Amino acid sequence: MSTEPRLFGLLCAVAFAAASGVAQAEVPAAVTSLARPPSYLPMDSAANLQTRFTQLSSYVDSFAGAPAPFALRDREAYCAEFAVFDMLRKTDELWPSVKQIPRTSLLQAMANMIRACGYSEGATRRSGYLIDYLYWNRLADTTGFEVADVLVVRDTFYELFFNRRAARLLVEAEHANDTHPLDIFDAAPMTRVRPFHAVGSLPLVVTPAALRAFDQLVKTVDFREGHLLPFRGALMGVLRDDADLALLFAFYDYLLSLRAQPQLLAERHGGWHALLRLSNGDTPRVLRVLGVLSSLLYLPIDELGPALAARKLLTPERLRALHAGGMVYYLVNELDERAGRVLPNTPHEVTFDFFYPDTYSSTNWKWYHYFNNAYLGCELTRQGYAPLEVRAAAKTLAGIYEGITIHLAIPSRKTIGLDTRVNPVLEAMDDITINEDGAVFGAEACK
Amino acid sequence: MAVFAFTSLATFARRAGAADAYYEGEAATVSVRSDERVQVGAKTDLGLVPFPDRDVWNGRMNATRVEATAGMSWKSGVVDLDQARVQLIRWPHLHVLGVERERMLGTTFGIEALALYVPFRLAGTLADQHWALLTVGASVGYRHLAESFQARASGDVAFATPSVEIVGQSSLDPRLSLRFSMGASYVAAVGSLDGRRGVGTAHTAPVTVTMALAYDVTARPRLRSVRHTDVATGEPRFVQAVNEGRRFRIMPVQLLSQIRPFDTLTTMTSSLLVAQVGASYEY
Repeated sequence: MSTEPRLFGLLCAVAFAAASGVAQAEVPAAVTSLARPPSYLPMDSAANLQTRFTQLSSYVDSFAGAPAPFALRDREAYCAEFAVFDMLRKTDELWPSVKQIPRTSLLQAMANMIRACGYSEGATRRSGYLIDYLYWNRLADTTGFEVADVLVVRDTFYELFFNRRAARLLVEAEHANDTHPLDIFDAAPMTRVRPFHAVGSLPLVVTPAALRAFDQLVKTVDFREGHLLPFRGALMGVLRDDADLALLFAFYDYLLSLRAQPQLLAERHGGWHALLRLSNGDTPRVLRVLGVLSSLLYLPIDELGPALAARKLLTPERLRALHAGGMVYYLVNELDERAGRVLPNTPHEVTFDFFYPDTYSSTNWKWYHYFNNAYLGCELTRQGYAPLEVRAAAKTLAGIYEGITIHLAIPSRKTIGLDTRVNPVLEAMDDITINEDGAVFGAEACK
Repeated sequence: MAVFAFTSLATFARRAGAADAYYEGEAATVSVRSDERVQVGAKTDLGLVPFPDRDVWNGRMNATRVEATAGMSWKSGVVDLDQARVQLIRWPHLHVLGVERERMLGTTFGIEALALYVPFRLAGTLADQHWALLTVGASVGYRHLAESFQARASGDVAFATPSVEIVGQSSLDPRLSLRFSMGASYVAAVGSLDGRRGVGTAHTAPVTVTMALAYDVTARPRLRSVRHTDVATGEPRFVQAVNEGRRFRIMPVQLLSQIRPFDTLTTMTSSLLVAQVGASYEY
């Protein structure tokens, strides 16, 4: 396929950037004794962000090739800001026009459009989302590349978004004064969560303790009116904890080094082993960092970032954390796909184990569900709830969540032209299982 | 991935379950029944209703079901509309506001106000060749019963129909699949019946088993191989994924068996066999 050499070039370029990165790279020691990853340029200042932007934009430019006509009719709409809620709201209007682009040239067409949009936050995030949409529906390979390679392209687009967003936050922080619009720090608890408490008590084999565990779990998730970002309190806890931040930064550097040395992905559960090394065996800390800040895509930088900037609380470390935390979500997913195995007992799908504890593997790619719930399981256990109560609470919340989101899965599957009814049910069941498994692990790890 | 033939049998058999909504698209069937009726039916699923919260999804819900079945008695040669339905939302787990006509329940006109079903997985994950779901739930609404339409007594009743059902599918090869369901429902009707004073009650409990073969005749393959390089060995591995688009299928054999241990609602025979052929254009 004619596009493969170009993609390979991009992969090499991104990998090179990760390995040599940018200004402060060190030559890694023998790959088998990677106790500490090399440190890379931190995304905590305008100058560093600009350096990385220059790299990323030149990769996209080279991947896109010679300038071509804009592949979609509505150029302005593609370049415009892409808000968090657009991720779902825009699908139905985006997909029919995107579908017109030959699938095997879609990635290059997106790169070309991003370049034509001046690498805008909207174009980069919109492109990343469209690749996500393919990936979530098991269609990423229809672009002509292996799934993990497609995710490298996606992550390059998303990193460009994070880069531009972080640069804008720095400017906002500089101009912050005492007045600011209502933000997530002002938002009241979400009233729509209240029925959760009523509904949640039903499937819980209703013991009073299990009910209290469920209430505590919903309280920890902490949904706020008008915002998609959960875990507000827990997120701030991570941002205030130097040891949490040190682990996050070390882990992010480790992920970048993995990109450059994919042979390390051959170690079963190697990512989990690295997390334990980097945290000195502090499993609760691992679950907090991975299960909160690193499991929420771009939501923290999108919703918490402006609130911190407006209050002059966006320190360079916190900016770096919001950037690294969000990108960890994508990098773990990308590297999980590359490290995945095809096992004899599940020959039709990829099994993931690299970032999971030694006793666990899953054919479900949604690693963040596992670690979200591991964090919750850990927290509930520390508060004295028994493993069975933790499990029941996590399963109930997952059941309610999947029961609600299936109403979106059915029409969105119709949009893309895949089975609309049975697969959403099966996927929901898979997701409930991985949520429950995560909570059980978290409870076990923190007892 | 689904086939109407199977669903139409399920629809035909239970009238209040969830399985017929597991499949989306268009289909047509011809049936021969042991109670000496022949039937011709068709159904379609439409995307008409806008999603209620446009901040979340700015599109239409692919939820609306329209279906009809005409039947003819061998003996009398009289043709009638045996079954019809227009329902705003008919998803596997949720039915909202449908009007219906159903000879199997003696109903010339009815309203299914609401039905909720909870699916439980018995077998299968996303890439499996086989799956089976257990569905438990209930439906409530109103029926106008008519003796001329095989009701035991005419009248107007409120009904509730709890049901339990196992639905499944097994791919025998990339094109041929076997579909099956086993279900039982209990229909309780309360209201004015045949001019009796006060409140009358009637009930029945159809127990149904269906099996169908479906053969995919679409030119392009349903499945494709997805390459995945093993990072440890560098060797290529291949997993499977489903291609986009709906599929044409023919259903050469479909069989349904239904028994009713008791029935004070209708004059239907206590056991029924149905053979059906059909075609569908569904996911």
